[in-house]
This record gives sequence, C-alpha cells and structure tokens, in this order.
Amino acid sequence: MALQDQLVVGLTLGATYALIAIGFSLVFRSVGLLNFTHPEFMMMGAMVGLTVTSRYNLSPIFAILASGLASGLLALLVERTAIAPIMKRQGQRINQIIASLGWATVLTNAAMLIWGPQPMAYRHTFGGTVWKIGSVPVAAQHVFILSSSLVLMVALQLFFKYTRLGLAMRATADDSTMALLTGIETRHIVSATFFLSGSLAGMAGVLIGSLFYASFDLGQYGLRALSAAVIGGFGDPVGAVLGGFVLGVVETLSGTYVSSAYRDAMAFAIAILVLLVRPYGLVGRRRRTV
Amino acid sequence: MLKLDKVVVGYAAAPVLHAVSLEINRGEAVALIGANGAGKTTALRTITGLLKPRAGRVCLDDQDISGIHPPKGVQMGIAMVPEGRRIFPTMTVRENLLVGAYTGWQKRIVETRLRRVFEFLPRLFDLKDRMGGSLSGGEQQLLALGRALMSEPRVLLLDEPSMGLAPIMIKQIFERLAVLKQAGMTILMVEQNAAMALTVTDRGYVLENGVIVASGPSATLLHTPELKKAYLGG
Repeated sequence: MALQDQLVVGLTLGATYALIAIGFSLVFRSVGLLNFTHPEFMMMGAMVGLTVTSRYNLSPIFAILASGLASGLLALLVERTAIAPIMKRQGQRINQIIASLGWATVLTNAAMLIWGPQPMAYRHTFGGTVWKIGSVPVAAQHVFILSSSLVLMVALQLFFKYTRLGLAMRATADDSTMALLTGIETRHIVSATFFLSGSLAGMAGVLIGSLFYASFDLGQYGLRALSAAVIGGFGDPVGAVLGGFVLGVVETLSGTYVSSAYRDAMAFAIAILVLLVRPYGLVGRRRRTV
Repeated sequence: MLKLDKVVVGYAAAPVLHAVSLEINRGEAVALIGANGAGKTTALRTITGLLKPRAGRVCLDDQDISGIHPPKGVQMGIAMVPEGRRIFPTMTVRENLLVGAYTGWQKRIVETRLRRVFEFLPRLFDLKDRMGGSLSGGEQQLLALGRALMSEPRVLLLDEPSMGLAPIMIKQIFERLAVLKQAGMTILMVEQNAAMALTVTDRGYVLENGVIVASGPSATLLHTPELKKAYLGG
C-alpha cells in the first residue's frame, strides 16, 4: 500500500480512536475516574450497529444514532449503579475503578451471550466505492468515517461552548465544589457526562465495526484508544483528538513497516515514548489539582 | 436575616466551631475576623451547606437552612466569593460570569445581568475574552466577585478577599465592596486582615479557636484587647 493510502487509513483509524479517547478524557476530567468500562461502550456500539444495519437493514447514520443512544444509556447505568453509590458513601477511587472493570466483564460476556462468540462483518453499505482526491484514491467508507468523526467533534465543541449544559460540564470539570457553589447540580452533570462519553464511544464503535468487524472482544481496540488519550494529554479533549490521530497514523505505518502482530505493543510503546519526553502528553499542561 | 445559632461543626473527631452564634441583619456588612485556623472558613462552609452542623442551626430569614444542598442555597440568594478565588481556569472571563448566573438562566435576564456586572467592574469587560487561568490574582478576585453577583444574591459571603493581593488591588476591591454596601447588599466578610475588614463593615466578630471572643461595632472592635490577643496569643 502506498504511503498516501496508509495515511488515509491511519487518519481514519485515528479519528475513531479520537472519539473514544475524548469520552474517556471527559469522564476523567469531570470525575477524576479512569473508567475501564469505556472500551466496552465502544464494543456495544459496534454490536448494536451491526444488528441495526445487518438485521434491520437500516442506514449507517441510523446505526450511529442508535448506538450512540444505547451506549449512552449503558454508561448512565454504570454510573448510577457502580460509580455514584461509591461516591455518595465517600468511598475510595480505586473501588470505582474496580467496579468499572466489573462492569466491563459483564458487558463483554453479555455481548458474547447475545451475539455469539464469532466476529461478524458489517454489510458493505459502500460497496467498495473509491473516489479520487487529487491523485489519491480514497475509499468512500473511509471518507464517511472521517467526516462523521469530524462532524461529531465539531458538534461537541459547539455544545461545550454554546449550551448551558456544556458550560456546566466544563465548570464541573474545572472545580466541582465551586460549580456546586454557583448553583450547578453536579450530580446531574456527572450523569450527563457519563452519558455523553458512552454515547461518543458507542458511535465510534459503529465506525470501527464497519471498518474491521464486530465482536464481543472488540474492547481491545478501545483499550488502545486509552493510550491515545494519554499521548495527547490526559484530560484534555483537544489532546485526545491529537493523540487519536497520532496513534492511528503511527500504528498503521508501523503495522506495515514493522509488524502487524505488534500493533498493541506499538500503541503502548508510543505512549511511553511520548510520556518520557513530555510527561503531560503532547498538549497537556500541569493542572492545579483542586 | 442570616443567623448562626450556637453552631457546633467540625471535620473529623474534634469540632472546629464551638457553639458559635452570630447574626447579620439585612443591609449590614459584618466582618468575621481571626487568625489562621480560627475556624472562619469553616463558618462560611457551614452557611453554604458544604458542612452540616452537629448542633445548632443556620437560619436565613428564620428558615432553617442547616446543611442545605448548596445549589438550593444559591437559589435562596446566598453567593460565595471563596478563599483563593477559585475561578474556572479553562473558561473565559465572560464564561465564568455566565456560570454565576446558572440558576437564573433566561437569555434576556442573563445578558442584562452581565451588562450590569461589566458596568460595576469595568476591568472585567476589558478582560472578557481572556482565559480565567491567565488572570492575575487581583483580576481573579474581581472575577470571583462578579461571578457571585451574577446570581443577584441577597447575601454575599466573602472568604479572605484581600489574601495574596497587592495593596492597590485590595483598595480597589474594598472600594467596590463599599459601593455594594451603600446600595444595600448584605455582606459577611471573613478576613485575616482585621484593619481592612473593619473599615468597610458596620460590625464585627472576633473568632479565636472556634469561639467568638469579642463582637461590636467595627470602629471600636479594632482597639479591643481581645482582638490583639486573638492574633498574637495571650
């Protein structure tokens, strides 16, 4: 595969990583939690998307929306059952992390029971159409994935900047006690943040599923996206996007020039290398902990 | 209007405030002064509902608000300018102010309030698109004050407004507070800088190790021996 083609694939993959990483960063910034159920929200999105497109023959956009809703609700369920009760009793953060791991196991097994253990391919809704941008051939599927991701990221930025809820989420992420003192119901904001992060992961799941396959163990891709969040700068959505693209491109290139068996190792190796040089990630800054 | 009635409150085992009673009438500016660790911030946290008293009550207009859920307190008209400013660093000045108006969110109302705050604190208008985290200490103090005013409070709580500020900035802040008081705002100010606090307030209470050791009109309070003892030890 020529270099330009690889870059296109890398950027496409990177865009999906970015969506997963943004959601992960969001929860970390608002609640300070490393939510290990997050990759499974992505996996569930891929499975739901598979059912919507293959079984019910509906369009991919509908699949994205349906998965967004489904994973968002799942994230809300996890927050209400595993995270909020521990926070209410002033439990330790580590217990919330363990609880999220527990939920990850539940979701993985549930998916295996519902959809079976075999990986399944999405119906090819693009039929392998290939367009040309300049002299570079680009698969319509990749264009769809890239543009959907970009639309979502732009929509997210607008949401944070211009809506009351978006403003409240940012305030809560900056300083949750102060947000409470300005009248913000931080408990609701935390729930909304979980819903949003799960939703983004679910939508990314459809995109990844259509790119590769849908399977109950798709969470491993999601785990790689977490390293994207680290590369970009933990807790910063802009960093998550940057980290996602960097990871996608480097992973694809190294898959060709090094070895495709080591993709997972490459993802984490890159993260370690970046952190050695820039301990707060590429865009991250030392944050005053409140 | 705002009353603490024999409040006992603390964090772990030992209480920080021991049966503290104080009262702020409508339109008054009251100072709560004392050395570091006396329990001043604890008192404010109890009023806003972040802490629940073990004994005694907090009352607003004779309504018991002890341990109130803080957002409810904001709706009832209590606004806090906290210690260390605590402005939102990743948001612009304008956005910080908007968050202050979170409870009364209708577009026309919010825009009107924003304009009024900019008129009252013109420096904030010049800074309106600057990131909160990039402001100086004095500018952050103005922002924290503006943010509190955006909720159109009935009672304004200030925790150490002069801390860490240059003298010229302190003068500016207190000048604005004096104007607020003239306009009828009810103010409770917690301060280590006794002299400064007692110039803009009507009355004061002196807190030492969680106990009120003196109270009275600000002008006379400054010269009482209890005040000197509270700061220097006796």
